[in-house]
Formats: sequence, C-alpha cells, structure tokens
Amino acid sequence: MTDITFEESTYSLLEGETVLEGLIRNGVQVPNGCRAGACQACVMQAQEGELPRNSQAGLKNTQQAQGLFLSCQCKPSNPLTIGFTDQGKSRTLAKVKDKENLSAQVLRVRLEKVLDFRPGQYLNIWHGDPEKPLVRSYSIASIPKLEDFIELHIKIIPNGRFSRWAADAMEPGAELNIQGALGNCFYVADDPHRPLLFIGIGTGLAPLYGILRDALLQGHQGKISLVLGAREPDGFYLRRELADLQRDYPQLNVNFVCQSFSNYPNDIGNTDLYQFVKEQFPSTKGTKIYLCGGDTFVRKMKKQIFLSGASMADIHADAFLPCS
Amino acid sequence: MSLYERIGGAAAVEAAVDIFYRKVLSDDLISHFFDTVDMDAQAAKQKAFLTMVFGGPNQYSGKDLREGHKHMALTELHFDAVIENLAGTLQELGVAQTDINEIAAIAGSVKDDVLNR
Ligand SMILES: Cc1cc2nc3c(=O)[nH]c(=O)nc-3n(C[C@H](O)[C@H](O)[C@H](O)COP(=O)(O)OP(=O)(O)OC[C@H]3O[C@@H](n4cnc5c(N)ncnc54)[C@H](O)[C@@H]3O)c2cc1C
Ligand code: HEM
Repeated sequence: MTDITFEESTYSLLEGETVLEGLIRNGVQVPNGCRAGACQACVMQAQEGELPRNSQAGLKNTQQAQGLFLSCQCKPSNPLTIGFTDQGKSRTLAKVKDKENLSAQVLRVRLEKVLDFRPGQYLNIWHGDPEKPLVRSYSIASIPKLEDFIELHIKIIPNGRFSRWAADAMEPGAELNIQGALGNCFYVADDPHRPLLFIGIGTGLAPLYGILRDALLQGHQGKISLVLGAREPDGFYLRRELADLQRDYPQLNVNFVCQSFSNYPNDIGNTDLYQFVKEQFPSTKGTKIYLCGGDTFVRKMKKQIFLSGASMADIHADAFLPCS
Repeated sequence: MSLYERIGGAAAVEAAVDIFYRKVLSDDLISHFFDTVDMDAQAAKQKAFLTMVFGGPNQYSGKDLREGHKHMALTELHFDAVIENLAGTLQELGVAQTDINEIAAIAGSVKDDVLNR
C-alpha cells in the first residue's frame, strides 16, 4: 500500500502492483509497450522519493541521475512523487550578459544563470513571434559551480534565422525566452577510472567543453581523449584554452583533425576524422563515449564506435538536428 | 527455475544486447534491417526480442509479431541468420548448449508469425 503522487493526485498501489499498473487502474494514460523493462516506452521521472534499483536497470547513468525510471518495473516501498519526463521545464527569461566572437564562425553568448543544468545539457530558445516562435536548441559549455553564467557557442550560419539574428542584432541586456535544461549528454562520476573519449565537430565543442571540464573538476582519473574535427583549420576555436587544460591535466590528450588544405599549424593532424578515430582507438571496449555535433556525423560515428566495442549504454550523444 | 532465471534474467539480456546488436549490424545478409537512425531505440527493441526468446516476461502476441515484421518481407534465410547470430551471442556469453537449444526452440515457435506465413 504505497502512495504515489502524480499531477497533484495521490494513488495507493495495491499489493504487488507496479506504478504503471496502478496509474492505468486509476485511469491515467501512460504510454507503454513490452511491460518487461525492455522497450522503455513507459519511462517516467521521480521528483521525490527513493526508487527501487531494478526500476532503473538498463537506463543510461545520466538518465538514472535525473530520476528517470521504468514505471512497469517499479514497485516502490516508499512514497514517490512522479511525472512524465521533462515536465516542469517551463520557460523563463534570461538576460544576455555578454557576446563575443570565438572565431569568424562561432559566437559565444553568455546568459544569466537562471536555471539549473549540468554541463553538456542543452536549452531551447523561443525566439520571435510568440504565435509562431522559432525554437532553437543550444548546448551549455559552462560549469555552474565555477562560472556565474550559461555559456553557449552558436555557429553563425549565413542564412540562419536565429544564429544570424544573434550575431547581428542581439545586444547585451536582451532578454531571451529559454527552456531547459534538457538532454542526457553529461558526465556522471560513477567510475573515475574509466577511459573517456570525446569526439566532436564544429560547435559540438560547446557541450564537450562543458562535460570535459566537469569531468576534470569532479576528479576523473582515467585517460581522457578529446578529438575535434573540422573541414578547415579555421573551423577550430578555444585552442589556447584547450592547450592550457592539456598542460594542467596530464590525463587529458587533445587532438585536432582536419581534412583539407596544407600549411597547418603543426598541432593539427591532416587526416579523415573517422579514419583517425579508427587508428587511434581500435578498441573502445570499456570506454565511455561522448559524441557531439551535426546529426550525420553523430550517426556515422556512433555506429563506428559501437562496432569497435563500446557498449550502447556508454555512448552518450548530442546530435544537432537541424530544426524546422 | 525457469530458463529465464537460469540464464540470469534482465542482466543476461543487458549483457547479450550489445553483442547481438553488433553481430547483426556486421551481418551483410540482415544488417540493413537493423541499421536505423535511432540506435538506442533499436537496442531497446532488441532487448524486447531477447527477453522474449529467453522465456522472460513479455506482452507480445503472435499477431503483434506478424504486424511488427510484415513490412520487412522476411524469408527463411533471414530467420536463420538471426538464429545463428543469437546462438553465437549466447556461446560468447558461456550459456549452456541445452539452454541455447531451448532458446532456439522458443524462437522457432514463432517463426510462422515472424515470416507472415
Ligand atoms: C540538441 C541540440 C543541440 C544543439 N546545440 C547547438 C550548439 O551548441 N551550437 C550550435 O551552433 N548549434 C546547436 N544546435 C543547432 C541549433 O539548434 C540550430 O539548428 C542552428 O543554430 C541553426 O539555426 P538557425 O535558425 O540559425 O538556422 P536555420 O534558419 O534553421 O537554418 C538556415 C539554413 O542553414 C542550414 N543549417 C542548419 N544548421 C546548420 C549547420 N549546423 N551547418 C550548416 N548549415 C546549417 C539549414 O538547413 C537551413 O538551410 C543544436 C541542435 C540540437 C537539436
Ligand atoms: C526469432 C523470431 C523473432 C522474434 C521473437 C522477434 C521479436 C521481435 C520483437 C519482440 C520486436 C520488437 C517489436 C516492438 O516492440 O516494436 C522485434 C522488432 C524487430 N525485428 Fe524481430 N523477431 C524475430 C525475428 C526477426 C528477424 C528474422 C528479423 C530480420 C532479419 C527481425 C527484424 C526485426 C526488426 C528490424 C525489428 C525492429 C522493427 C522496427 O523498428 O519497427 N526480427 N522483433
């Protein structure tokens, strides 16, 4: 007879009943599929209360850390307050504190820290006509414990409706309508000795820069490799900051890989990113992986990395899907 | 003890899914069925498949399996390839041959549904 609270109503579970069964019995619609803890259609999020371990089995550790659980497997012994995932991610206003170019193509925007987040998560910006808003997602590069702002790296796209506006017209002091933080791509310190491999292209560095520094700050001991790819050498940014980090943390190794042109500065390798990863990391078994950047890149690299041994549960990815 | 409990339940499914998924993605005969955009969703479906053939709890009816596989126009060849990859996975995990046979028999029992015959 455990009580569960869902959207302000409290329901009593019957003996041996799961959260899913209890909610459905009470007329609450919960999507579900296999009811065996496999398909994850019935995933919900606990706001309060202790979850039975088995109800989080098979979820990524980042999801577990946010209180996600499988309602079909959950027979709680203590009261729980639960909801659907990402509920309560209401919108808030955040002032632009600062805006600066990190390179010709990348704009750094710092916002007031008006919400809780983990470095690597993203937020949605609702822009323009409230009737027909443009919604754009940007990943967070800053560390809440260290920095008093939300940092975004926005690639300036020639015809980009939001990114062009941000680059040309947005002024410090402007208020943005934001929603978040969302996403499962962040560091969890559950095993400080595992090797970590971060791979990104373009502004995929934004979440990676956050996750990487978060891991270092939380004392990650295992080997950490950051591999960044770009078409041209001027596609890279934050190179000095990354070199400084590499100097300060012996476990960290940073690689820049560039596909075209000659005459590189000598710290940039000239090869194909996929080939480079294949050669440098022939086995990814036991490695935790973070992949961030364009959708096509993430998809292709995810498959390659999985086939080279990493477990699906250890592959965290943030694909920058283009929006409509 | 049931087959599912004997081989380790949900933990066995968890251990098997990576190996099995890697095998089917590397098998030219059937990889195209599994090479989908959302690899996490695909892995979840494979867990459902593994749970079922391991004799674990599931909600799938023969009709569900019929519907779910209809659009793929599968043949005996595809079916055998899946069973072979499954057996290879179980061998790698050190599952006893008698249990592997039992699992193959469960898979065989829904063959007509999966092949829409
Ligand atoms: C989870 C998530 C996280 C993201 N994080 C970031 C981030 O940290 N930094 C970041 O810069 N972007 C990020 N994005 C992408 C971002 O949300 C926008 O899609 C992007 O900024 C384009 O918006 P726009 O309005 O400027 O361009 P739009 O007006 O939407 O697009 C204009 C044209 O440019 C094309 N286009 C769209 N994206 C690109 C691109 N990347 N390169 C070249 N052409 C493109 C479009 O197809 C279209 O033809 C993320 C997306 C997702 C889903
Ligand atoms: C041994 C018998 C089989 C069983 C018991 C079985 C069972 C299942 C189950 C339970 C699902 C998940 C359905 C869902 O929840 O959406 C599934 C999906 C799937 N099966 Fe099978 N399967 C079998 C054989 C095969 C074969 C032979 C192939 C192809 C070679 C195949 C390809 C697929 C694919 C591609 C999906 C995902 C479909 C989608 O994404 O919608 N299966 N199967």
